Amino acid sequence: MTDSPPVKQRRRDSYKYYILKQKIVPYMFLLPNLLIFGLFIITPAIIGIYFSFTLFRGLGDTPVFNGLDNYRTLFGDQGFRDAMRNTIFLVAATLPIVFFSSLMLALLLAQPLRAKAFWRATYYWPVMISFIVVGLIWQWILRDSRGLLNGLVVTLGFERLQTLLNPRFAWWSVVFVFTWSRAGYYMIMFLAALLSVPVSLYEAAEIDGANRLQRFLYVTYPVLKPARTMVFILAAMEIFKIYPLVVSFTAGGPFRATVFTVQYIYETAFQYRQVGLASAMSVIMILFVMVFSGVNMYLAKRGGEV
Amino acid sequence: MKKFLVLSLTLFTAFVVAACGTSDRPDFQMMWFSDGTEGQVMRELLERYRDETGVYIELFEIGWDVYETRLGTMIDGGEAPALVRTTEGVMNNFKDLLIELDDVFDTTAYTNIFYSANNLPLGLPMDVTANGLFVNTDILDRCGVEYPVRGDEDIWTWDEFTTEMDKLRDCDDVSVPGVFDFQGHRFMAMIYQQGVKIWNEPFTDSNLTSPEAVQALTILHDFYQNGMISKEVFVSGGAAAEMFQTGTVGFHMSGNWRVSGYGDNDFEWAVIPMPTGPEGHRATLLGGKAMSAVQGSGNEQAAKDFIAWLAEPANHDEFNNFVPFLSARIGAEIDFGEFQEAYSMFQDEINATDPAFVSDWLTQTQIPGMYPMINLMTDRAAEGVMTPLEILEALEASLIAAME
Repeated sequence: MTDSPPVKQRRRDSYKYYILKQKIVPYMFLLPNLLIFGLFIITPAIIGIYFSFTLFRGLGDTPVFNGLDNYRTLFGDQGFRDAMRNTIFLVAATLPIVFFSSLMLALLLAQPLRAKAFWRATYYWPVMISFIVVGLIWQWILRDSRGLLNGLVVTLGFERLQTLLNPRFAWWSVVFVFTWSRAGYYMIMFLAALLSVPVSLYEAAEIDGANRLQRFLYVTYPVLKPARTMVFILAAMEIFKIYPLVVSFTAGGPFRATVFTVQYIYETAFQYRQVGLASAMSVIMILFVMVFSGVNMYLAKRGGEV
Repeated sequence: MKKFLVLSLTLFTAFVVAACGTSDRPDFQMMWFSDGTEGQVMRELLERYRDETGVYIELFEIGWDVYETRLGTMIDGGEAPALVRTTEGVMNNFKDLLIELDDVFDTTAYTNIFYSANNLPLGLPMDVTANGLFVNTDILDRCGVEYPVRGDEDIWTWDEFTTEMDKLRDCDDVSVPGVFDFQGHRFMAMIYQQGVKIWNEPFTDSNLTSPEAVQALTILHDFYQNGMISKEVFVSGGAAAEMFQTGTVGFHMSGNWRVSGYGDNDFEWAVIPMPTGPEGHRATLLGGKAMSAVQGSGNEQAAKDFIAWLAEPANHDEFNNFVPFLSARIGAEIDFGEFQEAYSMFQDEINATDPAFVSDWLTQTQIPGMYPMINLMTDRAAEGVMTPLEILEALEASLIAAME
């Protein structure tokens, strides 16, 4: 007669127990983060959605349900429409610039260079500066009457430029400063992806007679697809949410030329004291970003290009 | 191991007991924001109050940007502070949550009192702010600009002001003739200077599109368009003061809160009378801070007791003397030291302002979101794509809509 294992031991060894463990344990590891995410992101978001259907000033008053009134109001709000349009244009203009500048930087830094670490740190350095400080630095450089740029221009004997007081200049300055500040971050993502491309692919392409451009187009670029999708979506979301940089850089001026959606929502909630209406604006913005991201992910999965 | 555990537990218990034994828990709290050094002055007053009464009030400071939001959150969360420093805007936004200070202090002894719908004060006025005109007298004298000073019979009109300040355009080492603070409400005094109130009938019938109001905005509009004043404030809120402090700007339209900050200027400066309209009306916008008590703190009576103590002339004057600020207590004598002349000019502007304009402005401050609306108005004037009348029509519509 052989000794059979104890019941507990048998249960542990069973296939069912194995599957259960495989399924539950990963979630156990996710739980702490899920709790924090649920408490500080999901719960406020749900409360925000509720506020969007209420008349609420956020000053110790009780939210009063008002149905779709806030949504009706915001679609007739010229300021909100302007801010949304401004934001969409900003995404359309900035996203390709950030995308290609970070990709180009990554391609350059993936080459066999001397002092590679120094160059990588140099291009990554702006990422480590907070948006508020980045905005202030560039305001000191670009402001009209006491800016470094105009100081240089006048010293060289030229006429002073109209810089941040020119709405068009200010708007494109936001594009430039955002790119300067964030290209290094996305460069790292591309760089990591580039360094993981198997060398054998390049060797095979070289044997097949591919030139430098062809190797990039038919080897590097396709292999970078997961990184490209990631950069595209992350950068787009970051530009949609742009706020601290602009507030410290142009304060939304001149003449509201650089007021984007988040700033408008902030003003509605905390200056005009219409928290309910501002919540409705936030819901619309989140829906917009979700649709944008969803479409991109869908296209990427289907094999389309981003 | 056992010994170590026992020792740790003993130490921990000792710490807890010691902490409880020496705990210095406040009786209640006062929420505060500071423009300068007044938080420290209030702390010293609170210490004296504790010595005299044994009541310990803890002062905690919150940045102005998030002040109202934080107050709302604390009230929502059942943690309402017993006392709160308020402005007219804060009192208006929280008027249903503040305690009416009936019989707490003598209302005839104070100016600039904000009343509830029941005509009872919602705060003890502490200090008064007023708009005023700073000038760089080094520049004005060098460029041959003639300007009035306090006590002159003949105060200049806006036309005369424009003629004189035009001389700065061709003067050496002047970057721009002048600057106005970013906040649009510096402009609103110009409407009163033209001799009209904003409201005929509060929140329904305004004078904002009257020829006088349009003339006021036309002056500002033209100043922005012809380069008399800098537009740089529209990309940096603090630019006006920074530019004036460079010593290359002739005038700065601001308010008395700038006085102590300008003490370090390395040029001669002064506060001089603001221009008048053609009829000679002088006007400044009064603002100020008050001490209010909040409902639901659990210390309502103790908060009122403190406000009654603070309203005693000696205590009230101590606060304003140490800062120093223009006092809201009628007849208070404040020692402004080296800034005596500048403050006297602000007091002169206040004295010269028609009380009807003062009460009209207090009506105006009851409109939620009023400040961003008038900021938007000056923004449009500086942009120059709308006429002054169109801008004022838009402002009138948004102010009335906010009260519907």
